[in-house]
Amino acid sequence: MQTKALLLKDWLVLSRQMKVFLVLIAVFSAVPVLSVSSFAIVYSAMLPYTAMAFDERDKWDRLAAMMPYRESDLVLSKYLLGYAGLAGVLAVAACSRLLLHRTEELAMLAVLAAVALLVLAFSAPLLFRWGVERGRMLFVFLMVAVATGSSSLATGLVGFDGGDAAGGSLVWLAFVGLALLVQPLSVALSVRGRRKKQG
Amino acid sequence: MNSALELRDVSKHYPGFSLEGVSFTLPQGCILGLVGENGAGKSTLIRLIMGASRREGGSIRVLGREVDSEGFCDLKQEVGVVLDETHFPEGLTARQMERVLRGTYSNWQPGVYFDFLSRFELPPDKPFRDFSRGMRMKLGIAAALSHEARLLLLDEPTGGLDPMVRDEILEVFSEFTRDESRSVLISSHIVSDLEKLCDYIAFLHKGRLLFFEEKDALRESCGLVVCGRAQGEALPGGAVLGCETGPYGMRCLVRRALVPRDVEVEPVGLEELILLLVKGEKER
Repeated sequence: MQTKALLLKDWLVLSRQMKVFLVLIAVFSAVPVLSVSSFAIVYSAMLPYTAMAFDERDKWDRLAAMMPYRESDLVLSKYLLGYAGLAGVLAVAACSRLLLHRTEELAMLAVLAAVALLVLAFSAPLLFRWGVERGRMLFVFLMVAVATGSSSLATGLVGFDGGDAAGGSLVWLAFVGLALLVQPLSVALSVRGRRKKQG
Repeated sequence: MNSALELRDVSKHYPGFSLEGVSFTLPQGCILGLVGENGAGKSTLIRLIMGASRREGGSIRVLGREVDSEGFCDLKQEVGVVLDETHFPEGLTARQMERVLRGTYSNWQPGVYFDFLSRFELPPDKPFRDFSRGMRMKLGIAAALSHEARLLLLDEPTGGLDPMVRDEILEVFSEFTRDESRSVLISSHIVSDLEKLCDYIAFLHKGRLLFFEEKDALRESCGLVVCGRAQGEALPGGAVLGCETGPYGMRCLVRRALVPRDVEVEPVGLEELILLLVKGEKER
């Protein structure tokens, strides 16, 4: 129940403060160009950081620590926001590929989503531990690395078949699986990091 | 009598600041005023009480439950908190915030919340960022009073507000404690507000609790001796809690019981009592 309330709060804040940007993300995700979609996909997984930045600016995190929210509610709601944003963008991107009969790109979209999940999994614990302001440099570094590397990584992973299509599928499926598997560990680390930050 | 708050030897250390050995018990149905200068540790103490920060020593019980216990998070449903700047998301309106709070507090009462909005003349559809400081505090108070809280923790709720708004807010707190199961801890710089409202006064100075006493007992046990320098210096050492020396003599805060009968002791206001105590502490 508390997680739902926190998600609602984040959605209300983001939809009010970033209306234009959210529309742009939706448009970008529908554009059937991999580099444009990759931006939309990776950015959607970054929505939690935008929400965290608003929380810190408004000092909502200080009040939330006094309210009947568990650390796990506060952390999990941010991850869920990222997952929901990512699912939305992926759904739009997949629909546009299906409509244009470009189904070969669906695997690439899955790899891009996995990259976004990995970025979320690696950076979230650091941001929960040190806050968005101090974690900004890391955020910028990750964004640049991901923006330049994700589409080629996706092409590389999906195209890596060495003449063996089944082997290629296994590689990118394993990559997607890894991205999903690290999520619980990342959530646990974020909860711990947030506790430390609270002092 | 059950206690709303029970602190025993609570301590917390930050670089350059230590909260040391804070102990007091606030009975249910009472209002405690927490006084102290900036940086004395008032906000830290409130964070520790709510488990938002981990203490390094001692124990804290809130409404009979240990802060570290399993169900403490659920107990927070019964505690209303208002921080010095309220800290609601700037872009949200009071109506949107109500939706969030409804999902947060199991005993949420929308009717009470909207009644408070009307009473305080707060616009439900105006973003929080456009609220004045007084409006922000009123909205925070409306939220804190709309989920059947049994304990209110208020961190500087009247700071920076004009006297009319302060009076209005103090009246609300006073109404809140007409039900004897409800208690309030209010921190403030404005001692006159606390003097009007509180049953107990705690004075925190540089992270140490200098006193925690019933307001009326404090007034009865302490007094002011206005005298010449020689007479002031002749007062028994144990009787003097703090002194102020001016060009025309001395003003000494004393324990009435320890002052010789022939010395005239005047009643002392809370504000002067605290100022003289701080001076006494600095001299020590």
